[in-house]
Amino acid sequence: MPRCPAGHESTDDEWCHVCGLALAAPPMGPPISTDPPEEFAGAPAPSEAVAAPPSAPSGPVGSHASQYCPDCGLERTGNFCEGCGFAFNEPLRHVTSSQPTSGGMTVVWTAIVAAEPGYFQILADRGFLDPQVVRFPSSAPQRRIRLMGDLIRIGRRNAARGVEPEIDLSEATEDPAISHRHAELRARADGTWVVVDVGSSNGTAVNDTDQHITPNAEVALKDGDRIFLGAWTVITLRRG
Amino acid sequence: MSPAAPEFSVHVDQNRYLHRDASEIHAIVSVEATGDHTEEAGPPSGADTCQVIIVDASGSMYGNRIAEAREAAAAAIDSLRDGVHFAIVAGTHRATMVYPPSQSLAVCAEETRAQARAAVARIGADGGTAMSVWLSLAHELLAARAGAVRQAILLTDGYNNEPGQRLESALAECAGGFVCHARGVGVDWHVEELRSISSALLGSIDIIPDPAGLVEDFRAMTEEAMGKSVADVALRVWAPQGATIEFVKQVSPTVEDLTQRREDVDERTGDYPTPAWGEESREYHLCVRVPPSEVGRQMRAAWVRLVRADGEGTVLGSGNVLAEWTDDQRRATEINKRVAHYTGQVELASAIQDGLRAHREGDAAMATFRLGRAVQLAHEHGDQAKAEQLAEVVVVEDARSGTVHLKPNIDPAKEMSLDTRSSRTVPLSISRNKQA
Repeated sequence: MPRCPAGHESTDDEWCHVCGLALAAPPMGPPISTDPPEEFAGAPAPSEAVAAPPSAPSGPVGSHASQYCPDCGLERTGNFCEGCGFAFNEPLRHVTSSQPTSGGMTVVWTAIVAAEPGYFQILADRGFLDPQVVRFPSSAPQRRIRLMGDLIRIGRRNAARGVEPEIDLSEATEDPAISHRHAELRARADGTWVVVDVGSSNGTAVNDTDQHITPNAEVALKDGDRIFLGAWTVITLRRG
Repeated sequence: MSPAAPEFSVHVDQNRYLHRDASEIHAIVSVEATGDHTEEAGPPSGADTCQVIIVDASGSMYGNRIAEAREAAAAAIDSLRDGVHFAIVAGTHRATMVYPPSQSLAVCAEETRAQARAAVARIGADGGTAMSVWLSLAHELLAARAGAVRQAILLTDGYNNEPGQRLESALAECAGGFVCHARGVGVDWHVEELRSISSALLGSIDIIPDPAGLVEDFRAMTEEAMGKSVADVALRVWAPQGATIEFVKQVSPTVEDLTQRREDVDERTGDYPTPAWGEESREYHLCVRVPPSEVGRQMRAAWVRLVRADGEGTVLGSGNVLAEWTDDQRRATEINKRVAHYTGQVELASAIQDGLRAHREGDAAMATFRLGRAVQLAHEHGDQAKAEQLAEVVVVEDARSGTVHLKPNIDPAKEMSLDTRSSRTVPLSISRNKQA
């Protein structure tokens, strides 16, 4: 009977019947992207070393052993789990945590980034773009991005010029009408977010597609607000 | 006997990739049941079929309504296949056997059909409305027939007139015993009341504004029932140690949240009920929260099987919902198209129901807000049917932004039609995002 990586005696040959882990030697996951390994948009600089628990740690490049027992979830302190005796196969590694230190607020906001045909159609109808020239992408899946840290830059990546936005719309929605430095999401001390257009060529709108927000002015955001930018990109903000 | 039991296939559509700390997996599980239509040489393999027709015989049905209801019951009797077990019940403040005279089911044949039709022709309209009593009688007649396809049709024209929680208790008692399809004729009944019945008993709900439409509807329901061949099939969901099933919802052909109807099988497995199957497809949205694991790990986040409650737990089909942790942010943040589609469809159904409830309660602002969102979603999904039904209740200024206002004079039949049909969904059309 194949051995479960967590040490269970599984009655199933393919997936552990206790914890679900794959029993054949797991093929390595999909090729790791060559972009800097940001896990979430806006991870703060890893120089902050704060005690790890309760959330899983994240840190420098490269994989590391899970710090929690896959069997019972207890934090790992050695080679065997003190809760259930699970035998860890890999040595314990020392990792630095990079939790955002913004106080005790643990509500993480999420940005859902999508290419919306409805918005694209509005712009085409108003003559702002020619749909024959600017073609809506044939495949642009929605992306869900958790907002970590205090500053999320939105724009088009340009490595040569050192422009590395946390929400890179050249990738996410392939939107041609987004400036390199288009807008920013900034966290307030009370845990809410504001959006600022930092000088884009084509403007940014919040909820009302008729009106662009004033450049360099902060616009407060609430759960469910929709930010319209470029030719078809809509970013919906969700609390939690 | 029913047609031969269909063959089941289970297909899972999902994004399996999770980022380092992420743990929530969404999947759409599509189940398709297909028959092979070959003539059976040996004994038929389908289950017995049992059908009870409950006709409201309260005073308000007097006149045209009861006349059409009698015709409809007769049409249903004519649509029954020979060998099907059936009964007709008249519902008032009591539940009375119309046919057969004893509290039992008759076996359908030329003679019994004729007798039933004669009995139906004598149904009068006089009395109150106590739906819990009607359902309890149906339960008595049907529940003992384990393994059979068991179905009831309940027709009413008015409000349930019973104290306290009687209807709710009856529904808790009946759940799983039989499938009940609810129909309301006219506009003087509560959609939410009938929906509580159709939802608990996994059946359909509809409004028949004009009694003349009853015959066709009863015929259609009965013909569909004749196509069912396997009952007592459950969606059995296993999740790994430390994982939680956040929800299980049927999302096609209608929305039905099954999460609370789970019956535990063991510490990691639970069964979710499904109504009898004929040749059809249904889709389910499953959300599992798994304990986070390390990059590169693959896990079976859920194991979904269709099982028969036939003592052996015969597995009719199965599928895996997977999780795989990755550093690839692109892959991990994608939302699967089918998941996104049905999330929107479920939201559309809620927006309609919330909006109409607010309207009934006199909260025009909330009604406008929610119905506006519904209009927007219907537009995004290309759901023409819903868009048209919504347009009977609101004036649409701009569908894309969901800007609407309530119509001053709303036809109650149209409003109830929108309400009863709110949980119907449309399938995903993949080409939606492509340039026309």
